[in-house]
Amino acid sequence: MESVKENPMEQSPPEQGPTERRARDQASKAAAIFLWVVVIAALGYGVVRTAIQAAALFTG
Amino acid sequence: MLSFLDRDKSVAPPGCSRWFIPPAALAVHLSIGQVYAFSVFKTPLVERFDTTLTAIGVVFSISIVMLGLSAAFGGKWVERNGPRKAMFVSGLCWGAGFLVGALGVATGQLWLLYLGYGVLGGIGLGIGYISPVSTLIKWFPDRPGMATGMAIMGFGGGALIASPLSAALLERFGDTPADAIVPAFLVLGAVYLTAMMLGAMTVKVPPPGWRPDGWEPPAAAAGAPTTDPATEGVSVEKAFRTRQFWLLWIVLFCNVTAGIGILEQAAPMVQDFFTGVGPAEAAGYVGFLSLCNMLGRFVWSSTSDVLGRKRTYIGYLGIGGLLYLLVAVAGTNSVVLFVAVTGVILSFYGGGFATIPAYLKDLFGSFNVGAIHGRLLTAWSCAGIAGPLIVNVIADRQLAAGHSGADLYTFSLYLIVVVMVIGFAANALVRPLPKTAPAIGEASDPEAAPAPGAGAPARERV
Repeated sequence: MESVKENPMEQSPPEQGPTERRARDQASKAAAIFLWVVVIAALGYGVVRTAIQAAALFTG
Repeated sequence: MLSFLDRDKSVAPPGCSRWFIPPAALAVHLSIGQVYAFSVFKTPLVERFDTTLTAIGVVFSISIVMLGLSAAFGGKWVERNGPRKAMFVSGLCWGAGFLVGALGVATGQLWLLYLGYGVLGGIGLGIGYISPVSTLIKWFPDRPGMATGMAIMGFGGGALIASPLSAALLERFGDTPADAIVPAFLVLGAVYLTAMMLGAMTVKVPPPGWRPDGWEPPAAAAGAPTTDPATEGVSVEKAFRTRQFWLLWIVLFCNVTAGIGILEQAAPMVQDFFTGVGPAEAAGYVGFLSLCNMLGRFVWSSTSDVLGRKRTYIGYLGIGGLLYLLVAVAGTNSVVLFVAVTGVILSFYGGGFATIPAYLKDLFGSFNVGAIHGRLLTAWSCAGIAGPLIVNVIADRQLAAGHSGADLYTFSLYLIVVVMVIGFAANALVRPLPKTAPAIGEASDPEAAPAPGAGAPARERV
């Protein structure tokens, strides 16, 4: 434990309080929801563009 | 400094919804799925380097070979270090691949493109392919087919996004597409790096002992003895030595060989079958097949949770084989029939990719499923050579013999039917691992040793 104290880079982070933990969980949830929106929008873009291209098969 | 990437730092807090995990997996698979859209860059790269299509085609081949190798040899590392570190490394490799590739293009050094997009990018592909799959399997033990379908659908969807996006970037950034490759690579690299890092930051592993509300592992629910390897979990080394692993290797090889043969030749094939189909309609046909491929990954893999994995592969290989036969016998009769039948075939091709990790989980448990899946993907690499070879070599020979049109492909299609029959037989021979086999149990493996008083190892009971 002494060596850990001597080197601040190796010290364990202090125990997080409930408020900090809740804030971190909220941030993580917000990031996950943001990522859901991003991946659905990206997939939608790809599917619509490809569907337009594929329509040439039936309309051409 | 990077300890936040460690497996124990990515354990989900109590109350974390498992539905927050799929976007992280999709962010990675949608990014690495770009590799299927590499063909957009082929003509501009040929012009830029003033070389042949074959020399540029090598870039794609290297990246796919590296995908197989890194998935096969890196799977164990991925399982040990957890998905966050794996996705982080994958994102760095994939992003750096574009950066080094752009440097190669800017300086006219083709070998740098091979090293960047091919080797570095390929390592990113392999690590990025397996880590989200095994993570989702652990979060969705009650619906593993749907979970793997969701992730692997992203790989198919990645090409759908990257293809129009890359074309738009090449048009916007230079007077000619060849001039726009460097900025396009840099933008794509930055976008994919950001998306994959977001995925790495938000991915979590379930805490030890976690399981979905109201769900019991099948063996435990039935009160069965807990020596079932599918519950205990089998290590990758032991799985590699089982007959079941190699039967599934043959199943995946046959399913992919058949599908990739059609996919690779789709545009010329539809034009050879029907003289009224021009290049624009052929491009539309390729787009249609890509949509079927992507949707099949999610729909059929999710269906396998209800039907069972073995029955689902009976469908892929049995019905698929009959559909290939229908194309060979009556494919020229109607363009609608041809398009519809090959669309279903390609949906089975995608479904085969997406369902295989869930099949592995059913047989070997989720303990080392990522590493086992990685080794099984060598079947994909082999099929990537065999499928196009069957179709192209036979078509060339038929052409040399004076044949034309659909006749170029008839023999290939019959040969693919034989391949499907072999896959069907291999699937029929798959049996669950014996429950009491002493060589299979993982009791000697401290990581997999059952927790005191528990039937299954803690990491397995998710």
